[in-house]
Amino acid sequence: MTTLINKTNHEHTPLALIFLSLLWFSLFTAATFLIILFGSLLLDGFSRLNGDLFTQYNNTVPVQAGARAAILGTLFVVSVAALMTVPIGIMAAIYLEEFADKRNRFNRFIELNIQNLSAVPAIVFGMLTLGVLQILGFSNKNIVFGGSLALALLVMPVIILTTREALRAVPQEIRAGSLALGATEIQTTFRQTLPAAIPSIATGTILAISRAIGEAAPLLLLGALVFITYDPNGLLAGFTTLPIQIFGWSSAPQEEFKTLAAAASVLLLAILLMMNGLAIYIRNKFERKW
Amino acid sequence: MANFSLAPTSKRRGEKVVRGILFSAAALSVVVTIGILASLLIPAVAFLREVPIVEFLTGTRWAPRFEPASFGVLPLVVGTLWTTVIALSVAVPIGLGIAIFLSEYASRRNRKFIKPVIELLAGIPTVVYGFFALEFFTQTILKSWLSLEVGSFSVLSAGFVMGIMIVPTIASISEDALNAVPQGLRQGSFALGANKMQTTIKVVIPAALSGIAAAIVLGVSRAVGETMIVSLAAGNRPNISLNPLEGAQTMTGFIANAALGDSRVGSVEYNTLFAVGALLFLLTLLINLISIRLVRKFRQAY
Amino acid sequence: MDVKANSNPTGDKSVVMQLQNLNVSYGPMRAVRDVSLDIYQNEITAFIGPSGCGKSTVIRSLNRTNDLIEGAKVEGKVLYRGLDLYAEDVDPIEVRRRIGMVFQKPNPFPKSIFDNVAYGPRVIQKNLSKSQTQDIVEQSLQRAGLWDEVKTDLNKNGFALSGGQQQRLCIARAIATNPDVLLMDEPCASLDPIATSIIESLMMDLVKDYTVVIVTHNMQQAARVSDRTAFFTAEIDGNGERYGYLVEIDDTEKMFINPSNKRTEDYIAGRFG
Repeated sequence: MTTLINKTNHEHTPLALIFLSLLWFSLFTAATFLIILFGSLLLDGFSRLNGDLFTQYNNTVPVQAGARAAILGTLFVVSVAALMTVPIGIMAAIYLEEFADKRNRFNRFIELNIQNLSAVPAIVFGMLTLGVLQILGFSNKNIVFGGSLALALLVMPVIILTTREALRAVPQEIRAGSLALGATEIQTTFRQTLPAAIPSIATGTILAISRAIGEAAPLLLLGALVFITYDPNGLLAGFTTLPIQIFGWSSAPQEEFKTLAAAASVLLLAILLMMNGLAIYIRNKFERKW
Repeated sequence: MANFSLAPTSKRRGEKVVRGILFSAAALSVVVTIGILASLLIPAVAFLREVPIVEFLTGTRWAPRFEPASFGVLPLVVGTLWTTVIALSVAVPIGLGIAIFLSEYASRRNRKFIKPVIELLAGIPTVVYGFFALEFFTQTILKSWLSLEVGSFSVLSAGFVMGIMIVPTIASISEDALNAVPQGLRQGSFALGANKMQTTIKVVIPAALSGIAAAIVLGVSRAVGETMIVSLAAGNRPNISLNPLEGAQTMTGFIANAALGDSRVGSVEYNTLFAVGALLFLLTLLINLISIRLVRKFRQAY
Repeated sequence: MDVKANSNPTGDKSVVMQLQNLNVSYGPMRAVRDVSLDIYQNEITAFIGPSGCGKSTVIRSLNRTNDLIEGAKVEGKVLYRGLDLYAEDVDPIEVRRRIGMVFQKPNPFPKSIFDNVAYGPRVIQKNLSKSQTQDIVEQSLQRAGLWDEVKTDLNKNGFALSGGQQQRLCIARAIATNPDVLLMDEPCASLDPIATSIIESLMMDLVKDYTVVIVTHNMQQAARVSDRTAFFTAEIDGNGERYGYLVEIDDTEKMFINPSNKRTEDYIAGRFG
């Protein structure tokens, strides 16, 4: 009997309790940090979270400055990047997951290479883009096309990896069922496997695009920290983006610009939260539990 | 004999074309890597023609824009090392603690609530982290609350906030590794009379070690490559100092800062950027390969 | 396919498929060794035996679905109406269009009932008219005994059906391409007794039009539905490697009442397996 009664004491030795409270503490730290971050940004930026932020261009006079060009720039640059990278990323994932012979050395090298690319520092993609623009003969590096290319290359490995996972989650029986009816592998992939994986692919893609929206480092290299007072109007137009604008305002000496940076940060976080919410919604609504 | 044939009814040329396109998309990633190598190494080699590699790698003064210029990369490496060490000493305990809590202690309901919160940390743009580090962490927490002697820029602030940024990376990979440990091992330990803590520390964590190591190594890679937080909060002064309350410039911080200036393509100053970039790329490549190998090890084990 | 004419006044049964010294290996493992047997037109041939005896491996070699398993290698001959399925110029896709398959676990596509059945005909025939497709879907569902249960909600997802209905949907899907042979790999393994008996009577009805091969764990099922039964078992060779082989094949009645091999008798009597 004693052993049975001691069971709870056994789990609740002082050491075990300290261990558990350390685990709780780690959670608590992360959560507190998150709350403080959101709270302080909201408090700092509250006074500038108004229509002017959306409608005004940047200005040397802080009270007149807004993020219009940066918001439109983000929309434009990231949309073009998504158009470039999503189809290619999904096709690459289809090849690797559905067609590649895993025993082939080159295919294995491609896999290793993509895993590495997904962890290459973002800033390196900026330097790559500088090289590409130079080869293509663009004298101006701060162009929408360049920014989009940098972001596209940056998130492509992420899209490939999440798409592969989505395809892998489609049960083998679906493929077997289709092939047993005399469908070809291509038919099976495009009529069964891929459609079945679309919700997960969409979720992963939205998260990858969120990453592109928030990224600043590679664009910094393309000289996107510029004063732009017009709407970006073409692939070769100059641009700035919201994260870059935040960077610029944070490094400015005047306090009013810091307030603007906080306000713009809140806006950026709100956009990303919405994207995240959309991703979660799609996951819960459409994703199939096999 | 059969009056029919089982030969292909058509050559299915279209399908072969589609396969070719899919393959090209996958092979494009190799082109990207080659592109990275070329775009970094060509200017880097030009740089090394003017600055001997020994001076570059062992010099202790980094002043490419001064007269006389000096190209010792060590101060940048030390800056990177500092921020990375601080970030990891924040991220590893917290990330691991969360991972252990989620995989060993949390109920299904708790997990469902906690995981998205941790994922939120991963979704915050680094520039926002950087702004927070510069404005709030340094000014309010370090200066006002803790009354530390700290200027506008400090390695401590950048490193700590970067550590929080890395928490989700370490937590999620470690949790995968812990979850992959077979339930039988835990039950065996319980059967011997160990409690949950003993089981976790003596059985589960050792069994998941290569996965946890992979998580930490990947965390290092992210810390080394992170740009925005350090360039905002750690400052732009190359500095070999053991005081974390001082500012310092990291490799990425230098690249970002130098890119803001207008240096002529092909000049030594311009090439400096790529020399540091190449060093950064090779360093993270090495770290990533180690991490990939470790992940494969724990995937194979179970 | 005129060869499929059934009436045979002399009583001679025509052979549809023939295995000659079939060996299947997975990597270095020779999992199935030296199987030779005939499968006759408009008969149900049942493969029985203890688990691991290779009966599923053998049925998968009958429509080249073994090809889909990495490292699988087939040696020997698999003849279908005289043509070797593993000959060089044979397209496995053409093979599978003639030799349909139903799996152990019902595997409807995550699509509507209609699209599940229409899928096969659509991938085989490019420009199928809407009314043609509708006819095929209705006929196939009729034939699989599912039409009356689903005719009002053909747009419902295949997953919404019960297990037994899902399996009949998969049968409807398989016969929609008008195959010659129907392979069924333990089609009732995941079904309850009522659903099982429905599928069994369906099989006995389908065999009027098709040649059916069924793998089953359940000896009573083989006895109830099949015309001929092949008994497989597994053994360990001199190198300690486990392999499956065919013990004997005969008319089901004879196999169950008076098997010629002692091992078959023991298995049927429940002494092993």
